[in-house]
Amino acid sequence: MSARTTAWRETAADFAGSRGALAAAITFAIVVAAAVFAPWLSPQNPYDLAQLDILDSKLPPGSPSSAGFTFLLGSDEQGRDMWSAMLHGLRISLGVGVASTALALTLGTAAGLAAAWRGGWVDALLMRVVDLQLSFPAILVALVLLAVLGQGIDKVVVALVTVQWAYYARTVRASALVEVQRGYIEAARCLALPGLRIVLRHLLPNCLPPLMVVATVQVAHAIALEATLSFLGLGMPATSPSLGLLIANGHAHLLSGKYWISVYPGIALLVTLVAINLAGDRLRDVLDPRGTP
Amino acid sequence: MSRSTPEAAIDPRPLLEIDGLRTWFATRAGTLRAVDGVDLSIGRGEVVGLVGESGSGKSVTGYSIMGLVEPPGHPAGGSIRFDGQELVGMEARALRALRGRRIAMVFQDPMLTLNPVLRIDTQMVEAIRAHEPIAGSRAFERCVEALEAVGIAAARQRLAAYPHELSGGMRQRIAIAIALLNNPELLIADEPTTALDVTLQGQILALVQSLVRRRGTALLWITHDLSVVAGLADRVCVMYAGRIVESGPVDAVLDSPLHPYTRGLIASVPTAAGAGRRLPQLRGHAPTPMELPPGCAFRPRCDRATPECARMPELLPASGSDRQVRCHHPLPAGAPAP
Amino acid sequence: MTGVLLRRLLQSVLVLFAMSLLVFVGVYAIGNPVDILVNPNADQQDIARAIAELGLDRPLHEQYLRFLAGALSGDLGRSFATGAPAMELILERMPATLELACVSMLIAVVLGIPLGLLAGLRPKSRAARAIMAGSIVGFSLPTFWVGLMLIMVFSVWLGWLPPTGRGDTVPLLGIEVSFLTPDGLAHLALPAINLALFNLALLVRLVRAGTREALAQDYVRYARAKGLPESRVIGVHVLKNIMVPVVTVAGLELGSVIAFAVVTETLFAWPGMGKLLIDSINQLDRPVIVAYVLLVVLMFVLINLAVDLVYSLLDPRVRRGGARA
Repeated sequence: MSARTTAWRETAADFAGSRGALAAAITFAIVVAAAVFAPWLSPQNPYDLAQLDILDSKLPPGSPSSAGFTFLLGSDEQGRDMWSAMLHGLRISLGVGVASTALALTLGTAAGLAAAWRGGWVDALLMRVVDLQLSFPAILVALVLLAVLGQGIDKVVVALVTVQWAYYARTVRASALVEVQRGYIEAARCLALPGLRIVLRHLLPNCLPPLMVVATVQVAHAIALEATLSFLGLGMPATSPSLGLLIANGHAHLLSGKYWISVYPGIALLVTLVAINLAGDRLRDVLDPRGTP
Repeated sequence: MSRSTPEAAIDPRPLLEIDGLRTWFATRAGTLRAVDGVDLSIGRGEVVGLVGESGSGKSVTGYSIMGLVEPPGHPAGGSIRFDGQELVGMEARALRALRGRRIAMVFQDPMLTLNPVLRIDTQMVEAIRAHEPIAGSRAFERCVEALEAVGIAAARQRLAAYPHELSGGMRQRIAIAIALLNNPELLIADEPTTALDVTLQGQILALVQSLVRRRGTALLWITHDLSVVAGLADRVCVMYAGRIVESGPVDAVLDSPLHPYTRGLIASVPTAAGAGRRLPQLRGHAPTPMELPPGCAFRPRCDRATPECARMPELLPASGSDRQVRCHHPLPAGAPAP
Repeated sequence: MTGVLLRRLLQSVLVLFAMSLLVFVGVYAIGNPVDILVNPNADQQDIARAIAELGLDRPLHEQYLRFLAGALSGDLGRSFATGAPAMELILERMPATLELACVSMLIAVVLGIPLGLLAGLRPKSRAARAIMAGSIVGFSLPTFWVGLMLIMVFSVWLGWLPPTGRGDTVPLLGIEVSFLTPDGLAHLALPAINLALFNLALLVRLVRAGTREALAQDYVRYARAKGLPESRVIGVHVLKNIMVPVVTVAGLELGSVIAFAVVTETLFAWPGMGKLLIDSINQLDRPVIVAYVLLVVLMFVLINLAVDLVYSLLDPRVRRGGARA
């Protein structure tokens, strides 16, 4: 156990060796904190219509609101404070992204482990499905699913899980197949340990490093995809606007020069995605020494 | 061709003179002195064997002559004169005009030296046309002749093939044919037989030998295998840790080595006479060029070492003008090889 | 060669078959097909007639065969919104999407290869670092967000380029195209750049990695040893080796460009089939959605097939054996 702890510590030290990656990780931590503490950081509950004043509609950043506070980032057409809306939108975007990634991770890992452990027709069938699905772009699969299923937070999560699970399944299967050949799995089999126990206690931990890399990148993908779907009007319902929907709301006002309604949620999205991707890039370099430097 | 054996016999100046050549590699862990003061000369039409263990800097010496050392490697001093021209610091264009025309090189692994996505004819014709403005059809005919000269049957068919369709031995023959296409004055062969089957090794060796002798091409044969040099070279240079430690006529050096390292190398070659005996081995490991001891680099492995060896010995003439050795305590001349 | 071709063809047909089954199950078995295929504004009588007409009272396998037969003959029902055959609507919009996709792929390839080469040849230079930083940003940003910024900068602030529409078109071989008129070109610029950015970033990374790998190979050093000019070493020996993955990826990405055109077309009001899909989804015009999905799947399969063939032309090692899985 201590060996593993040291290994993790070394990985962390390696990771922090790159200043850019460290900055990305810190930025991401701030983004997460902003999302978690959104209700305490916002001067207004952007979903409480009673707090909105139509006279405050589309004010530029820095204008005073009728309630007394300042619209740091301006207000939208309903007189909603963009700063508050952005923080709450970030909360929803991150929540949906992380939740769908966690679900897809669990599902995909189970499928990948089953394919590698069982082999034979289970493996063949699962991998054909994975191949088939990965041959179509995620956005297309998600669009078609939402077209069939309809709108709603649960449907968005279903769509995101559907487009993601195959990546995990493929990654886990690849590393599990290598591990299955190793001596320690053979030894565990000889001890006649129950299959499930071998898979979970011995196989799974050794498949984690590549899985972590994929998961980091996929969180960013999920957030971006959800934003895109919401922007197209097919994602989150208007009652729980994520960053994508906020940006879409401002789209119409962009041409009249009221840039702040779209731009600030957009910047929040951008900072989040770049931070995750930079950290993911570094993580891949650290965990996979064969990768390009 | 104007360059031929008779002329070589007339001109007494060496074709290639290397003095104090240094090629270093700047790595994160420090400077790796792969080649650290090599002195070497090759006469016209002469065959020289450059022998050393892996990591001794013999391949880097070859690449340095060609100007093909890649970063982080860089020239750190010394001079290479080819036919009187200084190559170190030469303008890139002039050096390129020399490469492949007057100095050619054959690499170690024939599976890697030919471009996998280009046909053989493309890779041969371009080698001619890089140096002469000549019609493609005439260049092609020269390629056919060149392939026939290295003993490849059905040359025209082979020219239309891709490298992966040919065997390793065939590919090395082609690489040799390409190197000799422009009738160079110097051929550098970097262990061209190491990656081949034993039976092929002999064939390739004999082929190169007959080709260079017939054309009067000077040959620098880089190898870790002393026994290869024995039947091939006029002269042999033994390299250790980036420096030449001994050089001389091949028979003299093999019969009575002056440097303890050379003796160790000879002793570790299996011979028919010594069958059944345990082969003597050199003590310890070849040092990595990063952590060389001061003074003679062979000192930690040498049974003749004294405190004096902490000072670097010079490469000095010994036992007649045609032999040189870099050792404070050379073996007595005339002492039999082990 | 023909053996490989036949096997690939068979695989393609199987994929098409599987996808038609999936779409059928999605439309007929999961949802209520009456809701999906019959105009929601129809009255009871109409619905009853439609059920009989569509054969929805028949057993499922029989319905599938009918669906398959219809799909094969190009008959996928009529649009609820316009009453026109769904397939016809899609095909009408297809040239606009294909033009956008091809131009954006062209931009990605024409810029991506030289930039990737530059980054690969001089990995430590400032230009290379800037290119690689740009490619990470290009990867991270969602297409719609970049498109918005393009509109804001080039249409709203600078006023250089129009933000929406397709502009003037002229017929080329019977197909209306934008890129041959100045006005059409101006309209095409922003959406094409928007759609190109992701693949540009992808190709830059791919070419850079390929260049660095090729430069370390013996055959490049050997090409230099032959005294070839550097232009030929890079332009022929390195580039031809990189072209194999580049063509593969560029070809496969053409499919995803068509898919992502959905976003760009919606953003720039580009009258292609992607915008039609979003409009249809918003209007619950299911027959058009089904037609779009089947057509795009067909295009994907054809693209994959074409990429395989070009791949084998470029890489002689694959051409004869075809043994590499």
